[in-house]
Amino acid sequence: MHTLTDDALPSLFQLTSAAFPTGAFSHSYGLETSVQAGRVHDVATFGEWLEVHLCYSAGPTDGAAVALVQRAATAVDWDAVVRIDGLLTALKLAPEIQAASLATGQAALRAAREVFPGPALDRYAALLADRRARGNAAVVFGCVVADLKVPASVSVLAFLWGIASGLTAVATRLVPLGGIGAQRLLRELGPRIRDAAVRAQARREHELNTSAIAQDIAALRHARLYSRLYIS
Amino acid sequence: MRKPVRIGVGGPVGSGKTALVDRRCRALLGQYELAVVTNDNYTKEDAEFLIRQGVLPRERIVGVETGGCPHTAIREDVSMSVAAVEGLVEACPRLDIVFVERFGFEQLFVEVDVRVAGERRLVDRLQLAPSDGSLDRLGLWDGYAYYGSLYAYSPRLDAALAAALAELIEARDGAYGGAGQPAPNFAIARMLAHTTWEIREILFSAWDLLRRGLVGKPARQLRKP
Repeated sequence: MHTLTDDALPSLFQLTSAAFPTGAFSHSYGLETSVQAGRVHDVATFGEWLEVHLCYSAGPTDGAAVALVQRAATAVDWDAVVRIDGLLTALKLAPEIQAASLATGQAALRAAREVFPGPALDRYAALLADRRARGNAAVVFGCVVADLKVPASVSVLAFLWGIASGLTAVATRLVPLGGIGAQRLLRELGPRIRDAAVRAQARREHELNTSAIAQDIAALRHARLYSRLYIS
Repeated sequence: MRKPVRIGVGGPVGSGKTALVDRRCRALLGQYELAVVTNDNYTKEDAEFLIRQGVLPRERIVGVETGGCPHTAIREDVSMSVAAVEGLVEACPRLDIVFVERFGFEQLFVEVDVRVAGERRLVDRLQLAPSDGSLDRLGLWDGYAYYGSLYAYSPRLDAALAAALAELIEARDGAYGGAGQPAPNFAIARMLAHTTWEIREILFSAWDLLRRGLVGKPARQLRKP
Protein backbone atom coordinates (compact mmCIF):
# COMPACT_ATOMS: atom_id res chain seq x y z
CA MET A 1 0.00 0.00 0.00
CA HIS A 2 1.47 3.33 -1.04
CA THR A 3 1.32 6.52 0.95
CA LEU A 4 0.79 9.85 -0.73
CA THR A 5 4.13 11.57 -1.23
CA ASP A 6 4.83 15.28 -1.64
CA ASP A 7 5.98 14.46 -5.15
CA ALA A 8 2.85 12.55 -6.20
CA LEU A 9 0.37 15.14 -4.96
CA PRO A 10 1.33 17.94 -7.40
CA SER A 11 1.39 15.33 -10.18
CA LEU A 12 -2.23 14.46 -9.38
CA PHE A 13 -3.16 18.16 -9.44
CA GLN A 14 -1.52 18.41 -12.84
CA LEU A 15 -3.20 15.27 -14.23
CA THR A 16 -6.70 16.36 -13.16
CA SER A 17 -6.22 19.99 -14.15
CA ALA A 18 -8.28 21.31 -17.07
CA ALA A 19 -4.98 22.43 -18.59
CA PHE A 20 -3.81 18.84 -19.06
CA PRO A 21 -4.40 18.26 -22.79
CA THR A 22 -6.96 15.44 -22.98
CA GLY A 23 -9.70 17.27 -24.88
CA ALA A 24 -12.19 16.45 -22.11
CA PHE A 25 -13.49 20.03 -22.18
CA SER A 26 -15.34 19.30 -25.43
CA HIS A 27 -17.46 16.49 -23.96
CA SER A 28 -20.69 16.85 -21.98
CA TYR A 29 -21.44 13.09 -21.58
CA GLY A 30 -25.10 13.64 -22.41
CA LEU A 31 -25.50 16.74 -20.24
CA GLU A 32 -26.14 18.87 -23.32
CA THR A 33 -29.23 16.77 -24.15
CA SER A 34 -30.65 17.31 -20.66
CA VAL A 35 -29.91 21.05 -20.77
CA GLN A 36 -31.68 21.37 -24.14
CA ALA A 37 -34.64 19.40 -22.77
CA GLY A 38 -34.83 21.81 -19.83
CA ARG A 39 -34.23 19.11 -17.23
CA VAL A 40 -30.97 20.71 -16.14
CA HIS A 41 -31.51 24.45 -15.88
CA ASP A 42 -29.84 25.76 -12.71
CA VAL A 43 -27.26 24.94 -10.05
CA ALA A 44 -29.62 22.63 -8.13
CA THR A 45 -30.70 20.54 -11.13
CA PHE A 46 -27.13 20.34 -12.38
CA GLY A 47 -26.05 19.23 -8.90
CA GLU A 48 -28.54 16.35 -9.03
CA TRP A 49 -27.39 15.42 -12.53
CA LEU A 50 -23.73 15.44 -11.49
CA GLU A 51 -24.38 13.35 -8.40
CA VAL A 52 -26.22 10.73 -10.45
CA HIS A 53 -23.44 10.78 -13.03
CA LEU A 54 -20.72 10.22 -10.44
CA CYS A 55 -22.56 7.68 -8.27
CA TYR A 56 -24.31 5.59 -10.92
CA SER A 57 -22.39 6.07 -14.16
CA ALA A 58 -18.79 7.34 -13.99
CA GLY A 59 -18.08 6.01 -10.49
CA PRO A 60 -19.07 2.35 -10.92
CA THR A 61 -17.48 2.12 -14.39
CA ASP A 62 -14.50 4.44 -14.86
CA GLY A 63 -13.83 5.12 -11.18
CA ALA A 64 -13.86 1.41 -10.37
CA ALA A 65 -11.67 0.69 -13.42
CA VAL A 66 -9.01 3.16 -12.23
CA ALA A 67 -8.55 1.19 -9.01
CA LEU A 68 -8.65 -2.22 -10.72
CA VAL A 69 -6.18 -1.19 -13.43
CA GLN A 70 -3.85 0.46 -10.94
CA ARG A 71 -3.79 -2.72 -8.87
CA ALA A 72 -3.28 -4.95 -11.93
CA ALA A 73 -0.56 -2.73 -13.43
CA THR A 74 1.25 -2.56 -10.09
CA ALA A 75 1.10 -6.37 -9.96
CA VAL A 76 2.33 -6.52 -13.60
CA ASP A 77 -0.84 -8.42 -14.55
CA TRP A 78 -1.26 -7.00 -18.05
CA ASP A 79 -3.80 -9.61 -19.10
CA ALA A 80 -6.08 -8.17 -16.43
CA VAL A 81 -5.46 -4.61 -17.65
CA VAL A 82 -6.35 -5.62 -21.22
CA ARG A 83 -9.46 -7.46 -20.01
CA ILE A 84 -10.71 -4.49 -17.95
CA ASP A 85 -10.02 -2.16 -20.89
CA GLY A 86 -12.18 -4.38 -23.14
CA LEU A 87 -14.91 -4.65 -20.51
CA LEU A 88 -15.00 -0.89 -20.08
CA THR A 89 -15.42 -0.39 -23.84
CA ALA A 90 -18.19 -3.01 -23.96
CA LEU A 91 -19.97 -1.32 -21.04
CA LYS A 92 -20.17 2.03 -22.80
CA LEU A 93 -23.39 1.51 -24.73
CA ALA A 94 -23.74 5.05 -26.07
CA PRO A 95 -21.34 5.29 -29.03
CA GLU A 96 -20.44 8.91 -28.22
CA ILE A 97 -19.53 8.04 -24.63
CA GLN A 98 -17.37 5.18 -25.83
CA ALA A 99 -15.66 7.46 -28.36
CA ALA A 100 -15.18 10.17 -25.69
CA SER A 101 -13.43 7.73 -23.36
CA LEU A 102 -11.13 6.49 -26.12
CA ALA A 103 -10.31 9.94 -27.56
CA THR A 104 -9.57 11.57 -24.20
CA GLY A 105 -7.74 8.44 -23.01
CA GLN A 106 -5.44 8.29 -26.00
CA ALA A 107 -4.75 12.03 -25.78
CA ALA A 108 -3.97 11.62 -22.07
CA LEU A 109 -1.65 8.73 -22.88
CA ARG A 110 0.31 10.79 -25.43
CA ALA A 111 0.70 13.68 -22.98
CA ALA A 112 1.39 11.55 -19.91
CA ARG A 113 4.13 9.57 -21.63
CA GLU A 114 6.02 12.82 -22.17
CA VAL A 115 5.23 14.41 -18.82
CA PHE A 116 5.13 11.41 -16.45
CA PRO A 117 7.15 8.67 -18.21
CA GLY A 118 7.10 5.33 -16.43
CA PRO A 119 7.17 1.57 -17.03
CA ALA A 120 3.39 0.99 -16.71
CA LEU A 121 2.60 3.69 -19.26
CA ASP A 122 5.25 2.33 -21.63
CA ARG A 123 3.85 -1.16 -21.38
CA TYR A 124 0.29 0.04 -21.88
CA ALA A 125 1.29 2.13 -24.91
CA ALA A 126 2.91 -0.97 -26.43
CA LEU A 127 -0.30 -2.98 -25.85
CA LEU A 128 -2.28 -0.20 -27.50
CA ALA A 129 0.07 -0.19 -30.49
CA ASP A 130 -0.49 -3.97 -30.75
CA ARG A 131 -4.24 -3.29 -30.71
CA ARG A 132 -4.63 -5.46 -27.64
CA ALA A 133 -5.51 -2.48 -25.43
CA ARG A 134 -8.18 0.09 -26.28
CA GLY A 135 -7.03 3.33 -24.65
CA ASN A 136 -9.92 4.14 -22.33
CA ALA A 137 -9.33 7.26 -20.22
CA ALA A 138 -9.77 5.46 -16.89
CA VAL A 139 -7.29 2.74 -17.88
CA VAL A 140 -4.65 5.28 -18.92
CA PHE A 141 -5.18 7.10 -15.62
CA GLY A 142 -4.82 3.80 -13.74
CA CYS A 143 -1.46 3.20 -15.43
CA VAL A 144 -0.17 6.72 -14.66
CA VAL A 145 -1.07 6.44 -10.97
CA ALA A 146 0.53 2.98 -10.86
CA ASP A 147 3.75 4.62 -12.03
CA LEU A 148 3.32 7.52 -9.61
CA LYS A 149 2.63 5.06 -6.75
CA VAL A 150 -0.39 6.98 -5.50
CA PRO A 151 -2.68 5.23 -2.97
CA ALA A 152 -5.71 3.81 -4.85
CA SER A 153 -8.18 5.65 -2.59
CA VAL A 154 -6.58 8.96 -3.60
CA SER A 155 -6.31 8.14 -7.30
CA VAL A 156 -9.99 7.17 -7.66
CA LEU A 157 -11.03 10.30 -5.78
CA ALA A 158 -8.76 12.44 -7.97
CA PHE A 159 -10.13 10.86 -11.15
CA LEU A 160 -13.78 11.37 -10.16
CA TRP A 161 -13.06 14.87 -8.91
CA GLY A 162 -11.49 15.63 -12.32
CA ILE A 163 -14.70 14.50 -14.01
CA ALA A 164 -16.82 16.56 -11.59
CA SER A 165 -14.68 19.65 -12.11
CA GLY A 166 -14.68 19.26 -15.89
CA LEU A 167 -18.45 18.80 -16.08
CA THR A 168 -18.98 21.77 -13.77
CA ALA A 169 -17.04 23.87 -16.28
CA VAL A 170 -19.18 22.43 -19.09
CA ALA A 171 -22.38 23.24 -17.17
CA THR A 172 -21.13 26.75 -16.41
CA ARG A 173 -20.97 27.39 -20.15
CA LEU A 174 -24.00 25.33 -21.24
CA VAL A 175 -26.75 26.06 -18.71
CA PRO A 176 -25.23 28.68 -18.07
CA LEU A 177 -24.37 28.90 -14.39
CA GLY A 178 -22.69 31.67 -12.43
CA GLY A 179 -19.03 30.85 -11.85
CA ILE A 180 -19.14 31.25 -8.08
CA GLY A 181 -22.37 29.29 -7.64
CA ALA A 182 -20.99 26.45 -9.76
CA GLN A 183 -17.78 26.29 -7.74
CA ARG A 184 -19.73 26.39 -4.46
CA LEU A 185 -21.75 23.41 -5.73
CA LEU A 186 -18.55 21.52 -6.53
CA ARG A 187 -17.28 22.22 -3.02
CA GLU A 188 -20.59 21.10 -1.49
CA LEU A 189 -20.57 17.90 -3.56
CA GLY A 190 -17.23 16.99 -2.02
CA PRO A 191 -18.59 14.41 0.45
CA ARG A 192 -20.69 12.76 -2.29
CA ILE A 193 -17.68 12.56 -4.61
CA ARG A 194 -15.77 10.95 -1.76
CA ASP A 195 -18.61 8.44 -1.20
CA ALA A 196 -18.69 7.63 -4.91
CA ALA A 197 -14.91 7.09 -4.86
CA VAL A 198 -15.05 4.82 -1.81
CA ARG A 199 -17.78 2.69 -3.38
CA ALA A 200 -16.04 2.65 -6.77
CA GLN A 201 -12.81 1.50 -5.20
CA ALA A 202 -14.56 -1.47 -3.56
CA ARG A 203 -16.01 -2.80 -6.82
CA ARG A 204 -14.66 -5.96 -8.37
CA GLU A 205 -14.44 -6.59 -12.09
CA HIS A 206 -17.82 -8.30 -12.36
CA GLU A 207 -19.41 -5.38 -10.50
CA LEU A 208 -18.49 -2.69 -13.03
CA ASN A 209 -21.81 -1.29 -14.21
CA THR A 210 -23.69 1.78 -15.25
CA SER A 211 -27.20 2.24 -13.92
CA ALA A 212 -28.03 5.87 -14.70
CA ILE A 213 -30.59 4.91 -17.33
CA ALA A 214 -32.00 8.37 -18.04
CA GLN A 215 -28.45 9.67 -18.56
CA ASP A 216 -27.66 6.74 -20.87
CA ILE A 217 -30.68 7.69 -22.94
CA ALA A 218 -29.66 11.35 -22.97
CA ALA A 219 -26.18 10.31 -24.15
CA LEU A 220 -27.71 8.17 -26.92
CA ARG A 221 -30.00 11.00 -28.01
CA HIS A 222 -27.11 13.47 -28.09
CA ALA A 223 -25.98 12.03 -31.43
CA ARG A 224 -29.18 13.27 -33.05
CA LEU A 225 -29.55 16.69 -31.43
CA TYR A 226 -30.38 19.35 -34.02
CA SER A 227 -27.71 21.73 -32.77
CA ARG A 228 -24.86 20.83 -30.46
CA LEU A 229 -21.83 22.49 -28.96
CA TYR A 230 -20.20 19.37 -27.50
CA ILE A 231 -18.91 16.16 -29.11
CA SER A 232 -20.79 13.96 -26.63
CA MET B 1 -58.84 -12.32 14.89
CA ARG B 2 -59.63 -8.69 14.17
CA LYS B 3 -58.52 -7.56 10.72
CA PRO B 4 -57.04 -4.09 10.29
CA VAL B 5 -57.69 -2.09 7.16
CA ARG B 6 -54.80 -2.57 4.80
CA ILE B 7 -53.88 0.36 2.56
CA GLY B 8 -51.43 -0.32 -0.24
CA VAL B 9 -49.26 2.53 -1.47
CA GLY B 10 -47.70 1.96 -4.88
CA GLY B 11 -45.48 3.91 -7.22
CA PRO B 12 -42.02 4.05 -8.71
CA VAL B 13 -38.82 4.89 -6.90
CA GLY B 14 -38.80 8.52 -5.90
CA SER B 15 -42.52 9.10 -6.34
CA GLY B 16 -43.09 9.87 -2.68
CA LYS B 17 -44.58 6.66 -1.25
CA THR B 18 -42.75 6.99 2.03
CA ALA B 19 -43.52 10.70 2.27
CA LEU B 20 -47.21 9.93 1.77
CA VAL B 21 -47.19 7.22 4.43
CA ASP B 22 -45.32 9.57 6.76
CA ARG B 23 -47.91 12.35 6.35
CA ARG B 24 -50.88 9.98 6.70
CA CYS B 25 -49.42 8.49 9.86
CA ARG B 26 -48.96 11.93 11.38
CA ALA B 27 -52.50 12.93 10.42
CA LEU B 28 -54.17 9.76 11.73
CA LEU B 29 -52.07 9.25 14.84
CA GLY B 30 -54.06 9.39 18.03
CA GLN B 31 -57.30 8.52 16.27
CA TYR B 32 -56.23 5.08 15.07
CA GLU B 33 -53.75 2.34 15.88
CA LEU B 34 -51.29 2.34 12.97
CA ALA B 35 -48.51 0.21 11.55
CA VAL B 36 -46.37 0.30 8.40
CA VAL B 37 -44.92 -2.47 6.26
CA THR B 38 -42.19 -1.40 3.85
CA ASN B 39 -40.76 -3.77 1.30
CA ASP B 40 -37.59 -2.18 0.18
CA ASN B 41 -34.35 -1.45 1.88
CA TYR B 42 -34.11 2.23 1.27
CA THR B 43 -37.34 2.87 3.09
CA LYS B 44 -35.72 1.40 6.17
CA GLU B 45 -33.81 4.62 6.23
CA ASP B 46 -37.14 6.40 6.24
CA ALA B 47 -38.52 3.93 8.77
CA GLU B 48 -35.64 4.93 11.03
CA PHE B 49 -36.60 8.52 10.37
CA LEU B 50 -40.20 7.79 11.39
CA ILE B 51 -38.99 6.07 14.53
CA ARG B 52 -36.66 8.94 15.42
CA GLN B 53 -39.43 11.44 14.85
CA GLY B 54 -41.56 9.43 17.27
CA VAL B 55 -44.32 9.06 14.70
CA LEU B 56 -44.58 5.32 15.29
CA PRO B 57 -42.89 3.03 17.78
CA ARG B 58 -40.27 0.68 16.39
CA GLU B 59 -42.44 -2.42 16.67
CA ARG B 60 -45.05 -0.85 14.40
CA ILE B 61 -42.70 -0.53 11.41
CA VAL B 62 -41.66 -3.69 9.63
CA GLY B 63 -39.24 -3.88 6.74
CA VAL B 64 -39.63 -7.01 4.64
CA GLU B 65 -36.34 -8.60 3.70
CA THR B 66 -36.75 -10.20 0.31
CA GLY B 67 -33.40 -11.96 0.22
CA GLY B 68 -30.32 -11.75 -1.92
CA CYS B 69 -31.07 -13.71 -5.07
CA PRO B 70 -28.38 -12.60 -7.53
CA HIS B 71 -30.77 -12.43 -10.46
CA THR B 72 -33.39 -10.48 -8.64
CA ALA B 73 -35.75 -8.48 -10.78
CA ILE B 74 -38.23 -5.92 -9.55
CA ARG B 75 -40.07 -7.63 -6.75
CA GLU B 76 -43.78 -7.32 -6.75
CA ASP B 77 -44.60 -10.55 -4.99
CA VAL B 78 -46.85 -9.53 -2.09
CA SER B 79 -46.81 -12.81 -0.19
CA MET B 80 -44.10 -11.63 2.16
CA SER B 81 -45.92 -8.38 2.84
CA VAL B 82 -49.03 -10.39 3.65
CA ALA B 83 -47.03 -12.48 6.11
CA ALA B 84 -45.62 -9.29 7.64
CA VAL B 85 -49.12 -7.88 8.14
CA GLU B 86 -50.21 -11.10 9.85
CA GLY B 87 -47.16 -10.89 12.10
CA LEU B 88 -48.02 -7.30 13.01
CA VAL B 89 -51.63 -8.22 13.80
CA GLU B 90 -50.45 -10.99 16.09
CA ALA B 91 -48.05 -8.66 17.88
CA CYS B 92 -50.49 -5.72 18.08
CA PRO B 93 -54.07 -7.08 18.05
CA ARG B 94 -55.61 -3.61 18.32
CA LEU B 95 -54.37 -2.36 14.95
CA ASP B 96 -56.85 -0.34 12.86
CA ILE B 97 -54.81 0.51 9.78
CA VAL B 98 -51.70 -1.00 8.19
CA PHE B 99 -49.98 0.87 5.39
CA VAL B 100 -48.23 -1.47 2.97
CA GLU B 101 -45.69 0.04 0.64
CA ARG B 102 -45.61 -1.75 -2.67
CA PHE B 103 -43.30 -1.65 -5.64
CA GLY B 104 -39.92 -0.05 -5.29
CA PHE B 105 -37.26 -2.71 -5.12
CA GLU B 106 -34.57 -3.95 -2.86
CA GLN B 107 -32.24 -4.85 -5.64
CA LEU B 108 -32.39 -4.62 -9.40
CA PHE B 109 -29.83 -6.67 -11.23
CA VAL B 110 -29.72 -7.07 -14.99
CA GLU B 111 -26.78 -8.46 -16.87
CA VAL B 112 -26.38 -8.93 -20.61
CA ASP B 113 -22.92 -10.02 -21.70
CA VAL B 114 -22.51 -10.64 -25.43
CA ARG B 115 -19.36 -12.22 -26.81
CA VAL B 116 -18.68 -12.84 -30.46
CA ALA B 117 -15.87 -15.28 -31.28
CA GLY B 118 -14.78 -15.18 -27.65
CA GLU B 119 -14.47 -11.41 -27.60
CA ARG B 120 -16.59 -9.26 -25.37
CA ARG B 121 -18.59 -6.91 -27.55
CA LEU B 122 -21.39 -5.58 -25.41
CA VAL B 123 -22.03 -5.65 -21.69
CA ASP B 124 -25.10 -4.12 -20.09
CA ARG B 125 -25.17 -4.31 -16.33
CA LEU B 126 -27.63 -2.58 -14.06
CA GLN B 127 -27.02 -2.97 -10.38
CA LEU B 128 -29.28 -0.93 -8.20
CA ALA B 129 -29.55 -1.46 -4.49
CA PRO B 130 -31.42 1.56 -3.18
CA SER B 131 -29.95 0.98 0.27
CA ASP B 132 -26.55 2.06 -1.02
CA GLY B 133 -27.49 5.68 -1.41
CA SER B 134 -30.16 8.31 -1.70
CA LEU B 135 -31.55 6.77 -4.88
CA ASP B 136 -35.12 7.78 -4.04
CA ARG B 137 -34.27 11.44 -4.31
CA LEU B 138 -32.39 11.25 -7.55
CA GLY B 139 -33.30 11.29 -11.19
CA LEU B 140 -31.99 7.90 -12.30
CA TRP B 141 -35.24 7.14 -14.15
CA ASP B 142 -36.35 10.73 -14.80
CA GLY B 143 -39.64 10.05 -13.03
CA TYR B 144 -40.61 7.07 -15.17
CA ALA B 145 -41.61 3.78 -13.57
CA TYR B 146 -40.83 1.26 -16.31
CA TYR B 147 -37.68 0.49 -18.17
CA GLY B 148 -36.99 -1.57 -21.26
CA SER B 149 -33.92 -2.50 -23.30
CA LEU B 150 -33.40 -3.99 -26.71
CA TYR B 151 -30.24 -5.60 -28.04
CA ALA B 152 -29.87 -6.66 -31.65
CA TYR B 153 -27.02 -8.35 -33.45
CA SER B 154 -26.83 -9.33 -37.09
CA PRO B 155 -24.11 -9.24 -39.72
CA ARG B 156 -26.65 -7.28 -41.76
CA LEU B 157 -27.26 -4.65 -39.10
CA ASP B 158 -25.62 -1.56 -40.57
CA ALA B 159 -25.34 2.07 -39.48
CA ALA B 160 -28.38 3.09 -41.54
CA LEU B 161 -30.64 0.58 -39.81
CA ALA B 162 -29.30 1.58 -36.39
CA ALA B 163 -30.00 5.24 -37.26
CA ALA B 164 -33.55 4.36 -38.35
CA LEU B 165 -34.02 2.57 -35.03
CA ALA B 166 -32.82 5.64 -33.10
CA GLU B 167 -35.19 7.86 -35.06
CA LEU B 168 -38.13 5.56 -34.32
CA ILE B 169 -37.38 5.26 -30.59
CA GLU B 170 -36.75 8.97 -30.09
CA ALA B 171 -39.93 10.00 -31.86
CA ARG B 172 -42.12 8.07 -29.46
CA ASP B 173 -44.40 10.34 -27.42
CA GLY B 174 -45.06 9.49 -23.79
CA ALA B 175 -41.73 7.72 -23.38
CA TYR B 176 -38.08 8.62 -23.23
CA GLY B 177 -35.78 6.47 -25.28
CA GLY B 178 -32.65 6.36 -27.37
CA ALA B 179 -30.74 3.92 -29.54
CA GLY B 180 -27.29 3.57 -31.00
CA GLN B 181 -24.65 1.30 -32.45
CA PRO B 182 -21.91 0.74 -29.85
CA ALA B 183 -20.17 -1.97 -31.91
CA PRO B 184 -20.33 -3.08 -35.57
CA ASN B 185 -23.45 -5.16 -36.34
CA PHE B 186 -24.97 -4.33 -32.95
CA ALA B 187 -27.79 -2.02 -32.03
CA ILE B 188 -29.02 -1.24 -28.57
CA ALA B 189 -32.00 0.74 -27.37
CA ARG B 190 -33.00 1.94 -23.94
CA MET B 191 -36.39 3.29 -23.02
CA LEU B 192 -38.32 4.60 -20.04
CA ALA B 193 -42.09 4.88 -19.90
CA HIS B 194 -45.01 5.22 -17.51
CA THR B 195 -46.65 1.87 -18.32
CA THR B 196 -45.52 -1.63 -19.25
CA TRP B 197 -47.84 -1.39 -22.24
CA GLU B 198 -45.96 1.60 -23.61
CA ILE B 199 -42.68 -0.31 -23.22
CA ARG B 200 -44.22 -3.26 -25.04
CA GLU B 201 -45.45 -1.02 -27.86
CA ILE B 202 -42.05 0.59 -28.41
CA LEU B 203 -40.26 -2.75 -28.28
CA PHE B 204 -42.68 -4.21 -30.78
CA SER B 205 -42.33 -1.32 -33.22
CA ALA B 206 -38.52 -1.51 -32.87
CA TRP B 207 -38.56 -5.24 -33.48
CA ASP B 208 -40.81 -4.73 -36.48
CA LEU B 209 -38.41 -2.17 -37.95
CA LEU B 210 -35.44 -4.49 -37.42
CA ARG B 211 -37.22 -7.52 -38.92
CA ARG B 212 -38.22 -5.56 -42.00
CA GLY B 213 -34.64 -4.27 -42.34
CA LEU B 214 -32.92 -7.60 -41.70
CA VAL B 215 -35.19 -10.27 -43.18
CA GLY B 216 -37.73 -8.23 -45.12
CA LYS B 217 -40.66 -9.41 -43.04
CA PRO B 218 -42.82 -7.65 -40.49
CA ALA B 219 -42.85 -8.73 -36.87
CA ARG B 220 -45.67 -10.94 -35.73
CA GLN B 221 -47.71 -10.34 -32.62
CA LEU B 222 -46.71 -12.93 -30.06
CA ARG B 223 -49.82 -12.36 -28.02
CA LYS B 224 -53.10 -10.76 -28.85
CA PRO B 225 -53.28 -7.32 -27.30
